[in-house]
Amino acid sequence: MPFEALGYAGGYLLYRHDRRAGDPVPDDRRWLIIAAAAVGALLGSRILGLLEQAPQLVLHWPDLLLPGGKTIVGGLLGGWLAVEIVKALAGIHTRTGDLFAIPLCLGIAIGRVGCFLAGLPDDTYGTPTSLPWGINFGDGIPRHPTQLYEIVFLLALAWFLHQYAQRPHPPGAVFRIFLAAYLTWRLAIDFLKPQPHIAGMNMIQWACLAGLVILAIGELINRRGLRDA
Amino acid sequence: MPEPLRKRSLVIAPARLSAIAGGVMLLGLGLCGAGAGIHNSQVASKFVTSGIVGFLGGFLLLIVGIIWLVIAAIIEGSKR
Repeated sequence: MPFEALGYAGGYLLYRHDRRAGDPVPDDRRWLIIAAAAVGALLGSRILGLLEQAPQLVLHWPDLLLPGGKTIVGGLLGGWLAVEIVKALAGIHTRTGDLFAIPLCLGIAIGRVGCFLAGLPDDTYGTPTSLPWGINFGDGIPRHPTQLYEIVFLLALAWFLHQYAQRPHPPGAVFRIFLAAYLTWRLAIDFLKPQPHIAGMNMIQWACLAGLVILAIGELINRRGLRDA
Repeated sequence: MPEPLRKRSLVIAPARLSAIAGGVMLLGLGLCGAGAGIHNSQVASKFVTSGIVGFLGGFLLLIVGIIWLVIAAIIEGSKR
């Protein structure tokens, strides 16, 4: 929990720092986008969190009313969807996500430290392993420390995005690379998590796949539009 | 000749409030989740209670923020 708050604070401070270098979006519209992202992230993370627990909830449905149970992938997809809706309603045509990409990497990485320290109750640990770096989270079984794998991945991704953002790039590309990389990572790493599967993958992986398909379609439409222009 | 001062948009404050409310609600859910993972029932119930209070407080703030945002957008739209 303190790491979740630290993650939000760290991400926001980095966003503010990066914004000083220049932002094509005026202040009022930027705050509208942040508000949409926050509310969309809340809804998305909760809905996907509930869907992920659906097999258990079917057996014990009163748990549906209990708060708790959020997912980062749901938060990202919900925030992204809400921002696109608000942009369409407010007539904002500029790309707005680039400034969020590196702060999101940092915020999620800090949050994952909390997931690692929380251990078994957090449901983010990996499957049992005989590898020398397997961690016993309290049940006596060495498991993949998937939270630590993710921290390493996010720090590497943040470094890459920082390098990429220094060079001339199309608007919105930094955020799209972040989203594609993170969704692909989660699609892969969640095979190492003992979550209930539906048709071979867990709900988060299905959501990642849906997000990647939408991103790919958007990219194709974008490229076709640029070619026709 | 000095440049005239640009008037601050009315939308910023309610949008900020809505964003903060969303963050508070997320933290509230986080507190509840943390409470569910604690074995000591007294500490766990404190976490869950403060999480629910945070979540509901954030929800109230969000409602206020959205209503304020809509009113601010209408006022700004009518000025143009």
